[in-house]
Amino acid sequence: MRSMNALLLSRWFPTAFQILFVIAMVAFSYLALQPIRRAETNPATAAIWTVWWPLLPFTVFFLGRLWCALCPAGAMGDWVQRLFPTTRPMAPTWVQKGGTWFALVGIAATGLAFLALALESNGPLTVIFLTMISMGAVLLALRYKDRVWCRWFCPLGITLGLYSHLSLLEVRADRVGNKPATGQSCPQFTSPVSHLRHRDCILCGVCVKAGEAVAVQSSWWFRKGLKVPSLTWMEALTVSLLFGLLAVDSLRMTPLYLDYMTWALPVTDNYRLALTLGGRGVGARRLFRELSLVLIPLVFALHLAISAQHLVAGSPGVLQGVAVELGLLSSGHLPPDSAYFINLPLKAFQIFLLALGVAGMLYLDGRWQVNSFGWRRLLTRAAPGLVMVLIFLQPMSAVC
Amino acid sequence: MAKAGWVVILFFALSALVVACGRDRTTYGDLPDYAFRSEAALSGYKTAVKHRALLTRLPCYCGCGLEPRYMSLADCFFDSDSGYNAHAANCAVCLEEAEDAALWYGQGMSLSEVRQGIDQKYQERGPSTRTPPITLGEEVAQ
Repeated sequence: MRSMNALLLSRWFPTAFQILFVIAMVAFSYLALQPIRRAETNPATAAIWTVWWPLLPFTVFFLGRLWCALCPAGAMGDWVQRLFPTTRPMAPTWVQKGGTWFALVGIAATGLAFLALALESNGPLTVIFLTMISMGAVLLALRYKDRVWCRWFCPLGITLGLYSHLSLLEVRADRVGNKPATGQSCPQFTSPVSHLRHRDCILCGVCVKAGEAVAVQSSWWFRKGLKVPSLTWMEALTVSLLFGLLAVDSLRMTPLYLDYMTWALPVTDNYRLALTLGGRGVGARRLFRELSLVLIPLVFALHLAISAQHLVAGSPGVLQGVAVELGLLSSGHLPPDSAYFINLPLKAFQIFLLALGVAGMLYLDGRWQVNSFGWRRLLTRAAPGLVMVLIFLQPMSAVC
Repeated sequence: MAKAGWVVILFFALSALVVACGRDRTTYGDLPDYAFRSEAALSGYKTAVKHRALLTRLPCYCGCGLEPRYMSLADCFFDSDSGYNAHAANCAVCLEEAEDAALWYGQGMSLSEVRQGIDQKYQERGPSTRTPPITLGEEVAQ
């Protein structure tokens, strides 16, 4: 924790990282638009969607929403506010509420882009995605004070925020610091002492640098128990939507997906429609607020499991592609005859994650339960997790 | 009632999974199931079926030429023994080449022009298959 607090106090944090990531984003955006010279697929899009994107949920577990402090979009918003210093109003309530629904639509649109438009291998679409995120942050930063985009509008931020309940780190009130922990300096409009919304804390260090009596500490939730406050309707829908998208993404990487498509395509005669309908079918379940809250550990575990698949199975190919494109390796490859494989250590890790997710679900459900926790409730609560375990027991592909 | 509904849903979901796992691989038309891996794969295999004769005269630059059985782009999609080859379903280069070849041929380019275009665009993507060169005036066999 000391090194983490020292990092937050450092004058280079987070600006140095933000500059690096902005440069990286611009460079990757440029490369994503270039024709492929030697690699099999565009190395820029592959690096973004097969390395950075699956790595993010793992960073949330260890470092909370730290990515949001380093994010190039948020950084550009901060910089334009410094470039054009003026008194900006607080975002009104309708903007805040509208923003959360915008985030939900953004998650749905991103999921659809992956499923129906192959975002992970589409250079121009990737650039559009990155540009929209950046423009959203910049425009809102010009209009309102602090990080309105990150707090209410960003689809990625909302997702990471939900997962950050399970993070090992959080900023809490502490005896160090010469000012009381009021949260007035917080650009995320939250308070480090308000654990109700600590998922909005992005570990940017502004409150620490302002001398408030706060510090980064371990959340110790595995000792003290999970404390997940109630979700808004939007957040509950987000969890439900995330579960649907991740379940479809996981299914898509198994041979079960081929069975579905060979059945669905003669019916729809349209690939994207068949895929979208299947995805809607899996993700159409409306979950009430309480159940969505309980579902967070499983959704996070599922996200980690599918991300592990991309990282372990997909990223060596990405790194090879980058090396080939740079001329460090000779081009050409022999793809496997079968795209589906079982990597036992990876499979064991994924099943372990899902088991933890189910355990987390049952734990949270038991906490809020009034009546006794019978086997029927146990079965229905564990059902989504068990279905996901069955899916992950299938051989899986390295690419979608 | 809600609990019974949950049990029913779970039963059907598990049954569907078990049935799906045990089901024999069927085809959509003549296409094998691996052609449905992605929209690009499906489009590629359909293109290959339609332009098989064209693809037999074009080299593949994905690197498959390192194996002696791959003599042309068509060999990435078709297998002399079982009909289809899963190779192209897992290779973006093969799928791209097939789409480009079909597009250019459809735009009225001659066989040698298509071959030239493929050679120019893909030669850095990997070693070529040992596809015989196009002779003067040669056209795609119908």
